[in-house]
Amino acid sequence: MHWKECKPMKGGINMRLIKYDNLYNDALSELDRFFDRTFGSFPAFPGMLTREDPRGFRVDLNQDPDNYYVLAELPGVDKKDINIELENAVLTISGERKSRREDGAETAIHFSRSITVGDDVVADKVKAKLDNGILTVTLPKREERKPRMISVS
Amino acid sequence: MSEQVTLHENKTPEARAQRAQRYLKPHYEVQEQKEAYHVRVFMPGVAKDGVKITLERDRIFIEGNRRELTGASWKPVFREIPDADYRLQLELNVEIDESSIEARTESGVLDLKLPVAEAARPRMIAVE
Repeated sequence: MHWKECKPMKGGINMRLIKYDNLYNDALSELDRFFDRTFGSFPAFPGMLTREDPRGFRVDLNQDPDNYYVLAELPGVDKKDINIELENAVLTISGERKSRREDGAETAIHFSRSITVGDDVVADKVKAKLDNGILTVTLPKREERKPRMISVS
Repeated sequence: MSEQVTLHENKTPEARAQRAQRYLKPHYEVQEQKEAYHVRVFMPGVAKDGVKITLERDRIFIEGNRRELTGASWKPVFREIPDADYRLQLELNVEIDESSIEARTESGVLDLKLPVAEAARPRMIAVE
């Protein structure tokens, strides 16, 4: 959400339209994120250490004519501990964040989040990479569903 | 969310330049160990060369510059990941051995080891 950029309407009232399209995108989590943004903390992802909160980490959904791109913030997570699942139009990113304490004991925190992408994804060509704690999932769109130019003969 | 889409499409060069002026305080964890403090700073999207650590007397400044995450042709559908760099300032109340600070980054997490200076360590005093 870009709170800073929302312009007040003429009467001085701030009006916004927010679409809640899944469980993880609910009103409360929006408020949480607003506080995080305003006060600058980042409890979203590591916050799961204390309260088991499956909404957890932040994600972005982008698209261009060829692909959908999902970005997820997963700092400190090993790539072998991440599971990515695509079912119909829903992409689920889940996994475990493992950390080792000083005494050698290993702790693991489970995280999971689902977001709705388009239903025109070629499921077996989905690619993912993990770079500096940012997971990028590239979901190619099906050829026959892409917009095409039709010339008038 | 049509509102956001238009906002991003209209991103002018000036708006991009402003990006550097917005900072985010990263989440961090501090662990006290016997002879050192172990600080973990969570800065997803920050590579090794994007981290700048400055120590000034009893203050430690950490700055993490993110790489551009999105491609030029990408159009946002919805966004939660803020388009800002990280900044964190920590105050130290213990003397730190500046010469042997260790720092490394791995998968978006900065690991800092701040060894407590010899003079500040607790010591046993034998009664004569």
